[in-house]
Amino acid sequence: MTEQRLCALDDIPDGGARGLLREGLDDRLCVVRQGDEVFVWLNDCPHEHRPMEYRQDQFLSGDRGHIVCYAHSAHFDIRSGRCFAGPCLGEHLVKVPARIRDGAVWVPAELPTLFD
Amino acid sequence: MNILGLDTLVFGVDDMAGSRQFLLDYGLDEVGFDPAVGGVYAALDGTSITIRHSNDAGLPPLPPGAHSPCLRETIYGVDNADTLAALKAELAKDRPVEQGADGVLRTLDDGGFAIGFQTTVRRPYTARFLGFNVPGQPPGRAPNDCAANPDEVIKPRSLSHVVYFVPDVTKAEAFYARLGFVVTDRFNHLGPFMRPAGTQDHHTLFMIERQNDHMVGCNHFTFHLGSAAEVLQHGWNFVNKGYKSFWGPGRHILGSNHFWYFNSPFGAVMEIDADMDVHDDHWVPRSCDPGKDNSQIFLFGAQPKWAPGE
Repeated sequence: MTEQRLCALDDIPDGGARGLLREGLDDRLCVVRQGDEVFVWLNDCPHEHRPMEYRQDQFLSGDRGHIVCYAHSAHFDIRSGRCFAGPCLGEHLVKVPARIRDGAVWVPAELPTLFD
Repeated sequence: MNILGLDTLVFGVDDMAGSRQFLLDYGLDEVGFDPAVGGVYAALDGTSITIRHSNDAGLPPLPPGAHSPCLRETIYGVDNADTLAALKAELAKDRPVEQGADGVLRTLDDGGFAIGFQTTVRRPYTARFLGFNVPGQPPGRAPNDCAANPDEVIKPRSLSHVVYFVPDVTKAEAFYARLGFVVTDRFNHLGPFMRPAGTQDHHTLFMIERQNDHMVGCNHFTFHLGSAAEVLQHGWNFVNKGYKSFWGPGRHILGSNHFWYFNSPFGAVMEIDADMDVHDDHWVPRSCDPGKDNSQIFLFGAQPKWAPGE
């Protein structure tokens, strides 16, 4: 599988999130870091299929405990991507497999889609 | 019952600093702020957004099934104390009603949304006169009055409307009809646009029947700006501050308002709009199916600046 280098691990604040892979004015990916782990999701809420953050990189809840779609308050588990509260309860964000190598975050060159 | 429109919307938030900055960037004036409590942010006519920590014990309950951040209370402005008394008598027929020390008459609507009524805070104000030069009509602006100003400070003029996800839209419509709201238009199988007796604005309330048990709370809310050009310029500024567009800019058909919606830290989309239709009692409500063709005449999106030669 061909990979692309997404960013340096340290580009993502530990315990925080960033929007990456800019396309027009939106970022295609929501990337959350917890220590040496990263969780990468398509930035696409299953409710209305719009970007989730309200401002650049603002994906997480106030306590940084979960991902929030700030359109209509859908709440997602950071690790599983499952919506546990809100209008798309039980649905999942689309996971992008990621791995860390030499201090960098790598994702597939061809990203998964909503239809995979 | 002479309800004039929305006076304030109260939100319980989890990101107080981000919420405050959002409202300042939106152009509202900070009436007061205490990081431990929250703040109040007003438009030119005094209508406002109030933010509180979501765990504030003084807030009304969340709408059933909703999660923070979320709308916690909708306060309407009425013309005088007689209207408040009439509302109190009507509401007390079938539900508990409280009138607090702050003068606000409070209860819950049939969807579990906390609502309140007070003598309105709406006030006269002065703002730049917005005129348009239209061939065939008298000039809208004086000679040498240039309309385009890249540095224009654009401020929301008035709190316009709120939109709820509701469990039973027929029941919800009947409740607000008791309070003098009339239906101006309707999306079939979705919900009505309603205006109270004290305004001619196309809608101050729109309700959407939820598609599942978890689609609860507020869908969006909006302040009126002065013009379509202000919607475009203000939205452009907002985009350039890093805020994320949800939908727009475009122009609705029902209501005719120009719109631009943005994600917000309030658990609902926050819109800016302008140039909404006004109606009187001669108006016959329209109805149509929801969907992209009936929701807008056109839809655009912001894009990076460019000029020929670059």
